[in-house]
Formats: sequence, C-alpha cells, structure tokens
Amino acid sequence: MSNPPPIIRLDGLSKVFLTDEVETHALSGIHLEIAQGEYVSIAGPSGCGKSTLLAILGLLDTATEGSYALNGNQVANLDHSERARIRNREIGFIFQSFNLIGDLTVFENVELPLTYRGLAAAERQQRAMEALEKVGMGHRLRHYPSQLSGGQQQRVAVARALGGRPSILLADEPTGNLDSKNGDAVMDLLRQLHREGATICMVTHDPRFARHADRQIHLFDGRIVDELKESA
Amino acid sequence: MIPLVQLPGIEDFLQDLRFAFRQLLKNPGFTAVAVLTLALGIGVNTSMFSGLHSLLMPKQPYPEADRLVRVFRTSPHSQRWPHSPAGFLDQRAQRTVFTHMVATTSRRANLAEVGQPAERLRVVLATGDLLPMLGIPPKLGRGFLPEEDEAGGNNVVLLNHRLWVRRFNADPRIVGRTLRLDGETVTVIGVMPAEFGDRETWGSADLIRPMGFSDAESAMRGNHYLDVFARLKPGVTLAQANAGLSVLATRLRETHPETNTDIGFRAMEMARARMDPRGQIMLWMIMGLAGFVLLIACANLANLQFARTALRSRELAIRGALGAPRSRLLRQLLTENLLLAALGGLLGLLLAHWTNQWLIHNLTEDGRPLIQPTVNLAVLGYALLASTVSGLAFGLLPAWFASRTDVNSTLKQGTRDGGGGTSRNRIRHGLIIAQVALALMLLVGAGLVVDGLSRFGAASPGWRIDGLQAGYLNLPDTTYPDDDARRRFMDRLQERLTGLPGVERASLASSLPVAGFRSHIGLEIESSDTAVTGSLSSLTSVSPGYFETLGVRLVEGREFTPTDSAERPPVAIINEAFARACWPNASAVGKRIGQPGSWQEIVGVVGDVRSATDPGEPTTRFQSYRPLAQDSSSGLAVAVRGHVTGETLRRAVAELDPDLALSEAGAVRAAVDRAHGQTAIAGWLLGAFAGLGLLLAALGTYGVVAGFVGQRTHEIGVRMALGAKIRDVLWLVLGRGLRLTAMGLVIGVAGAIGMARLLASLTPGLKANAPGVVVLAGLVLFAVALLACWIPARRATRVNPMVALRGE
Repeated sequence: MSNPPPIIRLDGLSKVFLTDEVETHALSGIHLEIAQGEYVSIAGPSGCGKSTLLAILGLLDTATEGSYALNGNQVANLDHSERARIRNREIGFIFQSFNLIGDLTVFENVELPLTYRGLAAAERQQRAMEALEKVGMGHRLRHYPSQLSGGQQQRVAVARALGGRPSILLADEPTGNLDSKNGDAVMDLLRQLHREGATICMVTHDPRFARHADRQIHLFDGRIVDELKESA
Repeated sequence: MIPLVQLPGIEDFLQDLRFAFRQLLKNPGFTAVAVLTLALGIGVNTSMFSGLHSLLMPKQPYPEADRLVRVFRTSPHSQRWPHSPAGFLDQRAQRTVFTHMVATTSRRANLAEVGQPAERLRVVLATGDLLPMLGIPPKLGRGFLPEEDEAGGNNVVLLNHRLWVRRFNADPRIVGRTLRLDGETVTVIGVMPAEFGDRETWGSADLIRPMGFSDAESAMRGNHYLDVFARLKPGVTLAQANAGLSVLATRLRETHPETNTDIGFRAMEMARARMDPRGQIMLWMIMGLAGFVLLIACANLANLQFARTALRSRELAIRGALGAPRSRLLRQLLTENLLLAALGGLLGLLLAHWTNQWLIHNLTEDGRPLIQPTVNLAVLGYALLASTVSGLAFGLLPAWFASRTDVNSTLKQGTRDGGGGTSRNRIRHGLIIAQVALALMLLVGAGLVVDGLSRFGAASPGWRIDGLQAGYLNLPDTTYPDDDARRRFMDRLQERLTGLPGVERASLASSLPVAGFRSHIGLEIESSDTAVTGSLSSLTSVSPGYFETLGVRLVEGREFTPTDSAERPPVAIINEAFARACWPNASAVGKRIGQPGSWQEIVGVVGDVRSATDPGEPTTRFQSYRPLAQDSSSGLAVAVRGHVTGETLRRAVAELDPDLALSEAGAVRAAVDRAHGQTAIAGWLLGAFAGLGLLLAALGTYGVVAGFVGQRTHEIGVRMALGAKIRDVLWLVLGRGLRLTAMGLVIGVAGAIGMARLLASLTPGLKANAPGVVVLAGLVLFAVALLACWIPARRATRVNPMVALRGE
C-alpha cells in the first residue's frame, strides 16, 4: 500500500519582489514536503523569507516560480475565490498579533470562518463550542477580544483555526506578542494539538520555541540551509 | 421544514445585518453624520417629488379617471389653445372616439342676498354633460337636465362644497333655494362633493352653471375661450383618440377654412394637462437642483466610506485570510451602506413630511394650499428607490475597493491603509472635485433664480404700486345690458370714488397690470409703409385719468379725456415699445391702428408697463389702450390712489348698486407682496438647496484634507524637524485642498455656464449670461473651501515634531 501524499509539497519554489527595477529574491528554490501529522518549525533571522514562505503556504501570496501542491492538488495558479475557498477549508491560521475582530464576540470570531463555508447554524455552533472548549475558552463566549488577555486572545485564535478542522495549522510567530508565561502556554497548546494528530507548520525566530517541533527547518537568505528532524 | 431565518442566504443576510447594526452603533459620530447627510439629500428630493407627483399625477376622484382627457386646439404657435363655441360644437357633433365632450369656461358673478353683503364668486360654466362625463353624482340634489343647458334655461346652479360650507353653513336643505346671481334668480339644484375641488383643473370655482349657449354664441368661430374635456370610449387609447382628432381637424379645415387653417387638436390625459408647461418646467427645475443636493451628499458619503473602509482594512484582511471571498466582503459592506441609506431614507421621509407641511401652509391662494404634497405609496416608493440608489451610489466603489484589499500585505504591515491606496486617493480626490463642481452649479442655478427674482422685484414695472388701492367687479348683463347702461354706471362710480375722503385720483379699467394683461388683439396699422402689421397687442380699456392714477409715464400726446366719448372718433393710446417698433423715426401720434373700417387714431404714447407679479415673458410687448367710453367692459377694475381702505371702496360700490360685489379690494402692494412671497418660496427652496450643497462640499473637503493631515503627521513632523516653517506646513496642507477646489471650480464653471443657458432657455426672465452670479458663487465656494482646508492646516502646524517622530 502506497503512502498518502504529503499535505504540502513545494518544488523549486521562488519568490521575487520587483521594486523600481530592483529584484529582491525572498525565496529561492525551496523544496519542502510536510506530511500528515508533522509538527514543523521554520526558523531563521529577520528577512530570511520565513514569513513569505508561510504566506505562500497559506495561499495569501503567490510564488514567482515553482509548484505548490496541497493535499496532492496544484494550488499555485488558482484564482482569488478558489484560493479563498481552500484557505477556508484546508488551512487554519494562527497569527502573531492574534487578528481577532474586535467587533465580534469570542464565539462569533471562532464561528466566522465556518459561516464563510456555508455550514448550518447548528453545526457551526457545535464546532465553535468544541474548539473553544478544547483551548479552554468555553467560559468566555460572550466576551469581546478587548476584554481578554493576550494569552487568552491567542487561545481564541487557535480555536478559530481549529474550528474549521483544517488539514494544516499555519502559525506565524504565535508567541511573538506574548509574555513568556503565556507564550509557553500557547506552545503547550500547540504541542497538545500535535499529539492529538494536528499537522502544524510554525514560523518562529525563537530557537527555544522552534525546538518544540519534530522537524526544524532553518531558512537563510531565502533558502533552506538546514533541517533537523527529531527522532520520535 | 427549515425555518426561513435558517435558510443559508437569509441567515447570512441576517448575520451581515446584525454586524452592520453593530458597526453603526460602534461609530455613533459617523452614523449620525451619514444618516443626517442622507436624510437631507433624500428628504429634499422626496419632498420635491411628492410636490411634483401631487401636481402631475394627482389622485382624481372620478371613476376610470384614466379615460378623462383634455382636448387642446393646436397651431404652429401653441399646443394649448382654447376653443370657440362653434368649433367645440362641431367637434362634439362629429366625435368618434369620445363618449362625452364638455366645454367649460369661468367667469365672475355677483351673489346678492338680503341682509348679506354682495360677494363676487367664481363660476364655472359647463355644458350639460359635465357630471356624466366625470362619472360623479352631486353630494346633494341632482345634475343638470338637458333643457337646462339651453339659452334661457340655465338659471340653475350647483354649489361647490366649500361655498356650501362657508356661505350656507352646510345647510342640508339648500337644494331648491333661490339665489340672486348677477341680478338673475337662479335655483340651487345640488351641492358638489368635497373631492370636486381640483384648483388646477376647475380653478377656485364656487358655482357650476350650465353653459346655455345662445344662438349667436353657437355660431361664434373667432372667439376662443372654451376649455374642452372628454371621456374616451372604452377601449380607445390616447393614441387612437389623437388619430381620430387628426381626422376631425382635417375635416374641419375643409369645412371652415376661415378659422381652421393650420389648426389641429390634441388630447392629453386630464391629470397631466392640469399644469401649464412653464409651471411644470419650474417644478422639474427645482427637482433637478434637489437632485444635485443628493448627488453631493452621495459623493460626500462615498468619501467618508473610503476613509472608513481604509480604517477597517485590517478587519477585512482577516476576513479574507479566513476564507471570505471578495463577493462576501462586498456584500457585507453593501449591507452596511444600505442600512445607512435606509436609516437616512426614514429620517428623510420625516423631513419630507415637515417640508411638505411647510409648503402647504406657505404656498396658498385665498387661504387654500396651492399644492397638496403628501407622503403616499408612490412617494414612499420614490424614497425607497432614492435610498437604495444612494446606498449603492456612495457605497459600491468604496466597498469594491475594500473587498480587494491585499490580504497578505495588510496583515504583514499592519497598515491602516490597505491596497489600492493610490487609486483610492485618486477617486477620493475626484469625488471632492465633483462635489465642488456640483456645488458650484447648484449655487449658480439658485443664484440665477434668486437674481432673476430680485431683479424682477427691484425693477420698476412702469407704474407705481405703492399708494394704489384696487378692487374688481362685474357688471351683469341683466342689470347693465348695453354699453349705455354700463357707461352711466362707470361715470357715477368714478365720480363717487373721486369724491371719497382721502382719494387723490380714481379711475376704472377693464383690467390692471397686477398679474399681467389678459386680453389681446391682432392690430393692423393703416399706413402701408411699415413692416409691422397684424401684430398682437394687449388691449386695455381705461377711463380718463387712468395713467395718472397708476403713475404711468406719458411720453407723447395726451391721456384720454371725458371728451373721448362713444360719439367721438375712436382713439387709442399705445406704449413706447409699440411706437418704437412701428414708427422708429417718427411720432406715432396721429397715426391710425385697428382694423380696416374701424381705425383708431393714436392720441398718446405712454411708458411700457409690465406685470408686477409674473416674471415670465409677456405674450407681447405691444400694449394698446382704448377709452372705456368707446370700448366698454362688463369686467371692471377700480384703481384709486390715496388713503382709503378696501372696505370704503366696497361700501362705495354697494351704495351705487347693492347687488354688486367688489372683490379683492385693498392695497395693491399687499397683493403684489403676497404673490412675490409665493414666488420667493421657490427662491428660498433653491437657496436652501444651494446652502446644503455648499455645506456638504465644505464637509467633504474638510474630511479629505483632515485625512491627509492624519496620514502625513509623521512626514509633517520630519519636515518641521528639518526646519520647515509654519507657513510651509500651512501651504503644504492648504495647497492640497485648494488644488482640488480649483479643479472643481474650473469644471463647475463650465457646467454652470451650461446650466445657466439651460435655465434661461426654460425660464424667461433668467439671464443666460450672468458672469456676476458665476463669479460670486465661485468666490463663496472658494472662501468656504478655504475655511474647510484652513482648520486641518492649522492643526498640522501644531504638530510636535518630537511626538510625531516618536509615534513612528
């Protein structure tokens, strides 16, 4: 029996920014596969291209060259609405600055991506509740983000990412705006989710947090220069 | 079964609506400004529409009212001419497309009752089919019998509901009662229902009386004074009716070529035919200028929405990152805009209602409203349409731009100004330019009308209004059957009036130039060496001393004197315009005008006289006068100069003949001021529109310039740190706003010139070329824009470089 295809497969991926006739190579010849259930961290110094890579993985940006297959399907050249649909169904985002919508309650924030999927109200509510319970925020449903601490906001953001039951969680410096205690708590949460089967790809500049992942990829000047895989 | 609210589309919509409400509540300042701006724009437009609707599409109290038409006689000169009795009788006899045809005309008559002062009433004379044609029965009594529409048999009347209530206290036993009308005894046979009071169609009628054409009248083809109405046969369309009338006109041209050359007929729905085209043009013009206010309001809100969506670009980017397609974002934003528009529309309806009430109370004639604008289903529909279109107009572009926010860069940079900044700024600047241009056009439009009205009010009408008292009466044929009887009464009346204490001068005339000249005649000039023959001239019969009493300047020759009697050779006086056109290099005195066989010698030339209340172009600028003694009239105007009250004049008339009523007796100045007041309302309305447009344009400019300062605070801080002086910063900001204003002014001037030409072509009396108005409007707009830019510019000069740089 053959192995299932990797969730993410990048082949010769490059990204070039053109500004005033100056070419900036943000990513060059990236080859990367992320399999189901993996916990991958991408680390590197500032400006090395890790956020660009994550944006391309999350279909928020497009590559200049190379191919990108998500769950075995080529997604590099999809139109805007198709990319939005895939983002909604296959990818869960966790941002550094939480990116919760201030005018929506905790519950509504978690429910929001599910409304874009067109799920029935009952199913949306059930999934949102489950996700919030999972991150320990089931008691703050009616609160607004401004009424929560940074750590709690990031938990809600994680719940929002989980609610859609995505193929992969993409975390962009998830502890960057948190103090060390809350940062540790969020990392523990991600580890727990991984243990429960979630596939996670996390960008971080902090080697301490990068070590939480099974597989650590080091990026420098837009290229993968090092990869470390922890044995199980 | 799934409940309605759980259906996917409905559920999403409700969710969008809930969020939209929350957004508006979260920003009460923005919401208040936006709703008020929209309410003003939608309110003035809805009010003007309800006025237009009530006049052009009135609710008619007649069954199958869409089958009622008015028939006009047409010619190359006019599309709305009246008919002669013989012409009407021909049409009625040969009709093929109408079930009924009715002719009407109106006149004044004296109602005299023992123990009550005589009253001059408005009487509608109608051929007997009026009520069957309209399809309504009287409220009390019966309609006219066929024999009552014959000469000598028409001594019956129907009372209008208003007169019945006012004069007869709604007496239910009024039917069968006799009244003395112009010395005749007439019997009241019924009372019309209250709905039969359409001023536009029937005038302010008090009584309806059968026409009862005499044999002489039935044969009359040269005297056109009848309005003709008809009911279409079932199934006949207006186009078919007009085709039938065309055939009829051809036949009449053949049988009576002497009066029907170039003549045609035109049927028009009765509801649409009520208003004269000039009034309709004025209404459409006001409506059009009100539309400018809504356009400016929409441009203003679009700008505000651009600023707002820029502030929300992060939220929209998050939604996009979570998988919201652009269409969903667009729908969310449009829901918010439409909700705003709906709130603005609701408040606008309230404003429209208040404006309508104000118009009803201020636009009146004889205590009755001239228009009855109401908020009915059609008006509600208009408000809904205006709100929806406004919501889309101000919301679509900002929402479209916002939905195209670059998700990645917005999330990455955390910028408050999402993608499309340059194009968005270009559009925002374009909107300001458009607002300024529209505001200038609105100001110029209103300025032209106000200028036209004030020029009209300030210009001398050629006679002295102040100190003049006037009143109007009718000499009934029954008491004053011939010229001799009328002349004797006129002599006694003038003598009586002249002898009243406080009276300096008194005279009589067939009419006064308060509202313009009503009677016109085609005149020829005896001499063959002039090109001006067959010219149309107004004709007024006046008593000796008339010109002196009115204060009309005598240019040449003499006034009429008592010696210009019926027995003496016919004489005439003409105005300067007439004299100049016909005898540019010679004196008109001694020349003869009139018709071959009845020439009148010109004995004097007087100054040109114009209406004191009608700013429109007169039918003709040629004016001719005849002595009342030689050309008597049953309708008389009394003109008295001196200190005397209207009541004294009324008593003086009643002392000579208690059956005669002097109506509208009083100071001419008061009547003129009342009429000016009504015209001034149009000026006030347009002035208010212009003020609103100006305010909205100023707010828009302020918003953009203030936004510019907000975005560039850091840059300003850097400039100041590098040594920029206050005037440099001031100019940086002012230059931005004033450049946009200047561009708007340039486009607006071009538009205003076009608008001035259009308005002048539609409304006589307005100037097509009024550089003063354009320059003044431009200066006012520039000054207001300067102020709107100055406030944020001053704020920019107070930026603390340290704070600004630290903020970065």
